[in-house]
Amino acid sequence: MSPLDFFISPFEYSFMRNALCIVLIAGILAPITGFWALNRRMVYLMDAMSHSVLPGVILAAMFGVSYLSGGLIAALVLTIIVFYLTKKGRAPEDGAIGVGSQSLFALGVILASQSSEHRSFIHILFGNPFASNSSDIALMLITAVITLLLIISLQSKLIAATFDHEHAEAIGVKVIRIDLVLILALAATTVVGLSSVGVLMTVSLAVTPAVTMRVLQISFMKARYGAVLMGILAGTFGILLSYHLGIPVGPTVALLCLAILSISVLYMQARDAGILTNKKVISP
Amino acid sequence: MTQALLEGHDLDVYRGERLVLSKISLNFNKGEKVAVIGRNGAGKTTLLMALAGITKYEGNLFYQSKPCHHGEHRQQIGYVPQRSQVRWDLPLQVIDVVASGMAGNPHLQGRAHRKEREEQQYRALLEVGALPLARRMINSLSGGQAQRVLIARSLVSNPDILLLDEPLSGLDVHALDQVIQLLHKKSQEGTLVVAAMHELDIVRSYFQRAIYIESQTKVIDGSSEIVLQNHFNTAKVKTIS
Repeated sequence: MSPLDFFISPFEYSFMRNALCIVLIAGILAPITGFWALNRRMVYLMDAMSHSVLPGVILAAMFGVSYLSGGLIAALVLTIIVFYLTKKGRAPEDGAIGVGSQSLFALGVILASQSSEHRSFIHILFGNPFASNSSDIALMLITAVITLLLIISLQSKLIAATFDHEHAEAIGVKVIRIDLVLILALAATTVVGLSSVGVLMTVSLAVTPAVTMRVLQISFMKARYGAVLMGILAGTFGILLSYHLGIPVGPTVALLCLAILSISVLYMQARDAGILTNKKVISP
Repeated sequence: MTQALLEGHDLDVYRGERLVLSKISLNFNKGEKVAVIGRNGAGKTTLLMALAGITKYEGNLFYQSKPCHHGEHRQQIGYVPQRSQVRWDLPLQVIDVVASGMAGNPHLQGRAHRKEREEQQYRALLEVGALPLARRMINSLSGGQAQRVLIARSLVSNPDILLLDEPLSGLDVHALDQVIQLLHKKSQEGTLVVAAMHELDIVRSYFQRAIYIESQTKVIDGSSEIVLQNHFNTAKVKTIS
């Protein structure tokens, strides 16, 4: 197979062009929200979110309404459950997140078992961008742009709250409000990722690039661009490999992200050992 | 009589829902250097947090004789928490940390104020002698450098009150001297400096005034020499509440 056959020929089909648009949108949005999830220590919450949107999305599909609204409502339900269990029930936060998300996921599985379209359930979990149409792309694009603008507008407050939440409060940053907005952004990312890599694999596309940037010790400001670049590369190669090898997109993207992370770890080990520069580096 | 910069009357101070200090009254003047001392858990940090408006209090707190409801005086306060409470593991540069001190000021947001923001950030770093560190990653700073960066972050909004929580803990002699000289300079420029301290010999030598939190309801306030003597039960002191 020539490089032309691998990279260009698949995009002669409109479903592949649609799939490319979908993974590009998810590949830009997910690493940005994942970056903040990692630094605000919300990765577990994001993982929980990916499970808990399931009943909302399936109910939305049953009633023929936008899966985005269904997913966001389900994410909101998770937030309320976690808030209720931690504040009223004095349950530990990670326990409340685990219980809430698994309960909602269980409800989603029951709802899916009652649905006539079993295939769509698999697509929700593991993604199928090849089945997307232009209205899906438009909806995803609008959601992604709004979410990104929201995060960009809050950037200085996010940095202040992440580095030192007590000082952020002292200078007038409402940390709880910032976290609530971030939780909604994580929910929106999960739902946007649904069509591309599936709800379960969105966490990989979101978090692995941010982890990779940490491993590479890239500064906070540049790391977001690096994470987005990695998300775009993993997404694009993911659909190409999926097309050529006939394997599911979501897991392919997740494994590509893991491969890049592994190479980064090896690179840093080689650098620290002085193999690349003949100088041994002592990491701080 | 000089008008107090910060006044608290009959303050009940809470940490979460727990009452830590009860019916405390304190006045602070411009340019003073005040040490807050007491055993671990006495309420030094909580008192500073109440003055900074980040923990719940009941009673009356005034900034320049105006009531400070819901932290309206926050832009005038530079709060420096303990170094250990901060995320030094993040891949941030020093200048990013200093810039984060402006995040709560709505008048300095947006591209239009970028130059003004940068000028203030570099001025704050220059003031603490940390300008060459601007592009250094924070996880490579020494204890003294990290402390000066935290002080620069609080100075970036040009406050007239500095509240510092154990600013000298864990510093070597050289770094300790740098921070003391910096606080002395700020005090001479008219900034009120209030610091929670454990280093009693430094309190005696460098702070004119000390507030000793003896118990939930008893705070001893006076010149550092006298308060420290009283701390060891050897001299008369002025007792508030």
